Amino acid sequence: MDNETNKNSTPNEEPVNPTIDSDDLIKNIVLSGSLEQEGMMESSPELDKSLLQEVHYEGSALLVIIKSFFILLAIGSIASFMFFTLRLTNNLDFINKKIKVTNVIQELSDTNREIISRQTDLNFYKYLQVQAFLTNFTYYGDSYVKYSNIANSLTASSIDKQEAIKKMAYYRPLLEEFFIKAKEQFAKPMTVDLVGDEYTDVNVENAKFKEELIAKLKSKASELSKGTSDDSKTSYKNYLQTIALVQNDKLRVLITATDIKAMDDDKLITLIKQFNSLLINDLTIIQKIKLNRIRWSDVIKEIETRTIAVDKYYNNNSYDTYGGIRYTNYDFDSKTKKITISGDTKRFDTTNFTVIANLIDELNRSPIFEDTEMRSFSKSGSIEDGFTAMLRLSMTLDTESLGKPVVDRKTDTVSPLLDLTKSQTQPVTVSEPPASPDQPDEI
Amino acid sequence: MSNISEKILRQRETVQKHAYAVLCLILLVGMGFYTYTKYMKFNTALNGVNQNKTTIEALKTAYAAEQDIYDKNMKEFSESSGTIQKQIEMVFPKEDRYTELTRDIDAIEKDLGTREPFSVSNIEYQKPNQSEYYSVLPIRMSIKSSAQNFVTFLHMVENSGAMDDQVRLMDMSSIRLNFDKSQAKNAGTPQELINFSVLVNAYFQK
Repeated sequence: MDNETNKNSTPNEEPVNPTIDSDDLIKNIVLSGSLEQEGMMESSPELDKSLLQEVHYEGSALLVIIKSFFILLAIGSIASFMFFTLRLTNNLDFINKKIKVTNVIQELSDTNREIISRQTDLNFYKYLQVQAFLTNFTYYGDSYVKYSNIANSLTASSIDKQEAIKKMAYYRPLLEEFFIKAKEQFAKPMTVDLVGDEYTDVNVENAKFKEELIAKLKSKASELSKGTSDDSKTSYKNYLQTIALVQNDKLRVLITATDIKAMDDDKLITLIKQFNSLLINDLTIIQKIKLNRIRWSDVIKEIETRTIAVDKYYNNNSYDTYGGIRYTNYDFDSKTKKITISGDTKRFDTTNFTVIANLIDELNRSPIFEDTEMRSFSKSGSIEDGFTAMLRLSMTLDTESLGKPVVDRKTDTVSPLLDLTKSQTQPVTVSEPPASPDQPDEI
Repeated sequence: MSNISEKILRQRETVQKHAYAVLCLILLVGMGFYTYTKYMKFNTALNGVNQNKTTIEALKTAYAAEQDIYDKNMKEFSESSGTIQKQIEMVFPKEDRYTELTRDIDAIEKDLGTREPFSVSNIEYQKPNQSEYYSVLPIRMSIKSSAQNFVTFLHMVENSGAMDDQVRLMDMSSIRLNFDKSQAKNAGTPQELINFSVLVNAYFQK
């Protein structure tokens, strides 16, 4: 086997088999028993110790310094790691407690929480005050709007209007006072800058304070939710309305951006209406209902005014004598905004249909009426007794235009709502002069 | 021989120096970076804590001041809030309170009727219905009135719900006017009598 291995190897190559090197070599040495080999085994070689003394080499000081520096660095690193682990994390909390060292991050978090809590307490009282100011504002706003309506009514007496204007002047300073108080509260900071990775975004920070305030108000409200006394019911409702106020960013922006003292009466009315649309409480619900209701007295007045434009003797108790227009039935429906007027016209010159056509045109000219129509015309009578034509007009009410300055649709002229008669700038061609049996009118 | 050994040792030492130098550098950079970042965090946190402590003291003072103001205003707030709630209850009650409303209508009739004709011949309360924020009690009434009182009645309903008047919040849903034929000669004059049927909505809280 060994010979085969040797045969396979080339002459230049050294034997590769490792088993020959170790086992066979030892075996050969033992078996050969040469003197040299015996001598080698029997006596150990002598060492020249002087050589060793020469080899001794004192280490470099630089290496020692580097090593020392390394050790210092290692110790420093461990110390740094320990220090920052103790002061910045809770990983070694048990040591913290033993050596009474505080975790700064924890302390920061605790102080942040305390700030949020204290600022929330502060905001709690601020918002309760704002709620009270705004309740008073909407309360006086209710009266202000009412007297404004009377002052601008088509049918209110001049005495009532003067009284209403006086009342408006009385309520205005009160409105300004409570509005400004609310604005001042909103001008105060509701948040405090917090330190920490989680509070780098201002919006997140603001949201946190708002969330805490709402939670506090809800907690206070829930304490009263089962109360049966009037006081607890009132307070409960007040807390719920304050929660809605806290959540109402649009209202806050409106208040902070408004200079109430610079507003005229119309703008103040608009502001009160904006308030009522943004704020939900009993007072604003009442206001909303009021704003949506139709002032039928003004609608009736407008019908009369437009009728007089066609028949200037309308309402003069002269129907039988001179003829004209007489209404026997009004039908108003606020849901459908439909108005139906029934009556009759009397003429002594057969022009009843023209009178009706003029009336239709005149009513259509009004900004508050639309689609006035009467498709069927019929009359009966004689020249002597006069001709009578039935009147049945249907129209739609344009509620958007009610309470706004009147723009005559035909002429585009603008006049105040209070004086609708001034809007009749176009002369009416047919109604005048009134026909009478004695003095028949010629067309 | 000694030179060789010395050379070996020197080489070994050089290697060690390099190795330690590299290790020192790595450690220095690593520790430096770690310490720097942690120190920055620590310093920010420490400053934050000090800043927070100052803020807390300021908030304590502000809270005490705000509470004083609130306490001073509290009595006024409670009184005004109570008054407002009572007035709201009058114009916008929690229930339909139709009996109270009936008495109110009677009082209106009595008041208006002393000057000119005004009589309510029929009142019919319909089934209340609810909307998002309020409930509505529809009332159908038949009234015979002078033209002046008719306008006054319209004004009364149109201006109802004001806190200072304490008239129940109402509006007109529909009006049907009939001028009395027997009074046709006076139609359109202040003396004429008007028969009207109105559907009035009286509002109450949901």
